This record gives sequence, C-alpha cells and structure tokens, in this order.
Amino acid sequence: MNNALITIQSLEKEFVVRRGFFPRPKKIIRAVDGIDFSINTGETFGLVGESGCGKSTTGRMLVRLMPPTSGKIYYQGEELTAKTEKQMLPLRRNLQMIFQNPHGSLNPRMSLEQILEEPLKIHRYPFSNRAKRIRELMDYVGLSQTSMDRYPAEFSGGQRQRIAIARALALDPKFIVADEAVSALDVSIQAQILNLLMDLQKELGLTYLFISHDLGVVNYISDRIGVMYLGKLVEVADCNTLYRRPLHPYTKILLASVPVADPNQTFKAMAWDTPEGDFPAPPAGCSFYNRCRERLDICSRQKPSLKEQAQGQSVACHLFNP
Amino acid sequence: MEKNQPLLTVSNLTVSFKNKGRNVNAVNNLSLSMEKGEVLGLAGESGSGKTVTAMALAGLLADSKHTSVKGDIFFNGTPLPTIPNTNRFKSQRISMIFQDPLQSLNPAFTVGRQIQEVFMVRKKMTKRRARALSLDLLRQVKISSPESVAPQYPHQLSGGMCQRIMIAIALAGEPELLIADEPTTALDVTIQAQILQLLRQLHHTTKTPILLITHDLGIIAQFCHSLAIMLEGNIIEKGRVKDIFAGPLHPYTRGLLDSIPILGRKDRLKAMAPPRHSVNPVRGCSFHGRCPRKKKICEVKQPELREQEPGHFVRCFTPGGLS
Repeated sequence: MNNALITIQSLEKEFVVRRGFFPRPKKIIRAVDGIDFSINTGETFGLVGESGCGKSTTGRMLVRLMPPTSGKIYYQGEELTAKTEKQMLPLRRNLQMIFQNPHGSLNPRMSLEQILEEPLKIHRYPFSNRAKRIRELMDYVGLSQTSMDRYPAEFSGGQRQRIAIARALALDPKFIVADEAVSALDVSIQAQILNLLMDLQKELGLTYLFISHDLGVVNYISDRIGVMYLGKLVEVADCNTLYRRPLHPYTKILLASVPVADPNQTFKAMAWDTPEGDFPAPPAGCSFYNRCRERLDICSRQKPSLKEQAQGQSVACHLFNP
Repeated sequence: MEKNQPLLTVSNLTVSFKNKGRNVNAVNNLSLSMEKGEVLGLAGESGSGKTVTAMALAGLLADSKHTSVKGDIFFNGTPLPTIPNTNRFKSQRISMIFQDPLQSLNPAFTVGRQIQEVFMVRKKMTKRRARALSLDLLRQVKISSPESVAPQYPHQLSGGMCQRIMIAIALAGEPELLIADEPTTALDVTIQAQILQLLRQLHHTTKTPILLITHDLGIIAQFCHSLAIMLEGNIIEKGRVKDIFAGPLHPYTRGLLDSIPILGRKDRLKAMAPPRHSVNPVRGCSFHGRCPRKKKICEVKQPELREQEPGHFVRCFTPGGLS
C-alpha cells in the first residue's frame, strides 16, 4: 500500500438539523457513514451515486474544506485530520478542488489574471516568476493570452471551467478533487474538458477524485470507481470490472438505468419496478434493504461491510459475504 | 386514409426577443412536422432554441412588446393561434411537462387539488367526481397510495414524485400532444429510468404523441422514433433515430455523437469546436465557423433542409462528408 496517495479510514460526517426557533430535539443526518478507501498515485478514482448519497461531502472532507465528524484521512502517510489550520496551509497547495458551477466559483470582480494570481500570492510564490507562471497555466488549459484582463462574465461556461482548472493547477498540486466538474456543460464542451483533464493528468502526474452522477462520464475518465449509497461505499472496483460484472444490487440498478446512446442496444431499465418514495435505511441493517430485490433475512439485522471479492473488487453485501 | 395528414405542422416559425434594442432570433424560420402516435426527440446544445420552440407550440409565448412570434402552426389541420388567447386554457389540446417539477407545481396547493383543477375547469366536473378521477390518474402514474399522496404539498414529495404529479396533471386534460421539456434532467439516473419507463408505458396505452426535448442523446436513442437536431434556432437534421445514429449526415450531429462518453467504451472522445458566443446572425451556414468540412459556399449561403435519403433530412452542402 505504499502507492496510496490518499487513504481514508472510517470517515464519518454528521450534520445536525435544527428545526424551529428553540432548539428542539435535533435531527442528525449522517451524510457520510464510515467509508474506507485509498487512491493511488496517478490514478483517477471515480465516485458515483445519487444526489444526497454523500459523494460531495466526501470530496470536501478530503481537501479539508469541511472537518470530518470522525475518521482519519492520510495524505502521503501524513494524517490530515490531526493537523491544525496553520499546519494545513503548506499542505493545501497539494490538494485542490474544481467545483461544479464555474459561474459561482469564480469571483466576478476579479480579472482572469487576478484569479490565477491569488493562489500564488497566498502561498508566497516568488514575485518575479508569477507572470510567467500565469502564462504557463493559461497555456495548459488552452486559454488565449489576450484574455488576461477579462472578467469571468466575459467567458463562456466551458472557458470558465478552464479558468477554474487553471486556478486549481496554479500551485502544482498532487491531488485534485473534481466535484461534478463537467455536469453543467454541454456535451461538446464536456468532451473537451474531459480530454483536457486526462491530458493534464498524463503531463503533470496528477491524481484525481472525480465525483459525478453521470456514469458514462465517470466510466470514461476513471481507473477505479466507488459506488456510494446513503453515505456508505457499497462497491469499489476498477472500471471495466464494474461495468462488465457489477456485484452489488445497487450498482446493477445504476448501470441498467443509464440510457445508452445506441438505438440498437435495448434499454435494460427496470423490468423490476422500483417503488416510488423515500427509502429510509433500517437502523440495524443494510442501507439498501428497502430497495433491494435480492435481499436476504440477515440484511435487515446486520450491516454488511466492504470486503474484497475478486482481484480489486470489493463489495458490501451479504449476498457475497455469507 | 387520414393517416397521411400529419398531426402537427409548423412552418416558418420565428420567435424573436428584444434585447437591448435589438431583435435576437431564438427560433429562426423553423419548419417541422410530426406524425400521429410518434415520439419525436428534439435535441441540441443549450441556447439552440429547443425550449422556445416548445413554448411557442404550447402557446405559452405571446406576441408582446418584447417578444414576437411569427409563423403558422397547424394542429390536425386547423391553425393554432400564435396570439394570446385567454380562453386557451379551457380548450388546450397540448399539454406540457417542464424540467423542474418542484418549481412548476404551485407550492400553496395540495397536489391532489392541482390535478382536480384541470378536470373542474376543462370538463366542468363536480369536485367529487374530479377527486375520484384524480386518484385514478395518480394510480396510472404508478403512485401506490394515492389517498395519502393527494393531500400533500409539493415540498413534501421527492423530485421523482413531483414529476409523476406533473405528468398526471398533463394527462388530465387528455391532450392530443404531450410536450416534455427535459422531463428528467433534474432527476437522479434511477428515478429518470422510472419516469421514462412510465412515459413509455403511457405512450403505449394512450398513443398520445410526445415531443421530447432533451440534450441527452441516450434518452433519444432509447425512447424516440424520430429525431430533430437543432442548432442556432433551426433544424439541421431530421430523420428516424436509427438512421441518424447509424449515419449522421450533418457534421454537427456527427460531432455530437462522437463527444458523448458511452458506458463501457473508453476510446478517446472527439471534441467539437465550441459554440460561438454571440447572438449576432451569421452569413451562410450557422455551423461554418465550427465545421471540419467547411467549403467556400458555406460562408456565403445558408443551405436548405433537403431530403438526402428517404425520410432523412439534412441542412448541409456536404451531407455525410461527401467531398
């Protein structure tokens, strides 16, 4: 496991929802409910799942935008969760994030040059080299040098996402979390950004955590994929295995739900009609119990844990861990 | 036979909005026809005019100070007015489903009441009768306990449930055409599959034609009979889904198909040139600035929509890459 750049151990995040003016009995939402995985140097780890399954929360905790409730995150063997903000600062240059909405994540009052200079300022990048570095960054992402003085509003969605990527690259990071980085873009631009991310990875030796709800996109860019459901990681496998031989019933449903852009392939969809509505996890058992077609007796009583089934494929399901 | 008469014929539809004193054409001289019982997909990038076309068809856009709607829309052979008509609601034969179900339902009324309303206004039914029918309809859209869902407010229901309610409302008027504008874009992929499955079943039983607007070519491949691709306010290619996916004739369609990641395939995507970032009309073909097989004529003349193969129309001087 020397190759692991990021390792997380039983990571948890709870949000407390307070209702009303007086603090009444509080409701606790476990957004991330004890997950473990590691990301190897130079690979792209994809995280998929429905909205609300905790994939973004996980991504935010990995770059410490959000402190975890419990659990540990290691970056190159250093425990991030034990560090103070001050100790974090030198490490932050290695951990960067690209957000979903490039309209919201760029300051509208800063020009492109200022946006790209800000991380350099914060991390005291030598003054004399800054201009050169900014030009270099713009080259990386294919932005024209003439647009240096323009403001975010003057760029299109795809260009703004390029700016966001350039900003993330400014300090030569090792690890980038891309949270739905292409979801807001049209397919033609989406393809460009995906290719750009993959080229940059090769050139600069980056490691990505790629979060998306779009299985086609995740499958295209990732080496390994983790599937999340209600705060838990239910299956981890390399992307070909996951596509060819999904094990967890939820992974199967997810894959069958994607309409494939090929009229000769029939829509696998649900021969099973999943009932509508919310599916609260039973307090004791598997979180997927109420939606599962293949559930067993034990599933309502005991939580399954993530165990390796085959080479590089782990699954949390009682069907496979008797 | 009657069959030859198309359900819907649109000719030379132009919708323009006034923006900073200039007219911007969102839909530009668009012509389209739709057969009875057909599921037609309308695809294109954002800003290509898909939604505006749908809104004009549903009569939701009216001529006003800032908007102009021109062109003829024939529905079953009779012209639909493109001017505002206060009584249209009662005689409406086209229903529409919108993208964001939570925002298109009224938050102040229970969902049951919002379905009943259609029966009461359109068919002048009593409240009791309307209530019974609305419960039936909820069952039709696969809501298992309609009695408990009907008295709830939209915010109490999930996105998928709200979209089912929207579909129920749309079906309540027994429309002759259902327009679904990105009906599943706001939903998770598993819920999307359910809603698409539901629409498909409803289409099977009622044979109501559906105009499905989406940017997701996967949905089109799986659910539509034919497909029209829009670019800058106009249709550039139209034909049967199988024909277009097997052999796209327009370079833009080719580019679109090459740029979507397909589950299970890892070949590098071929990215297309980005859309131009301007509303000014261009001379010649609207795609020439991005086209890989542009010729001299493309910069000067706008190509016509021609039938290149039987039932397969394209607006290009070099269809299919003929040199």
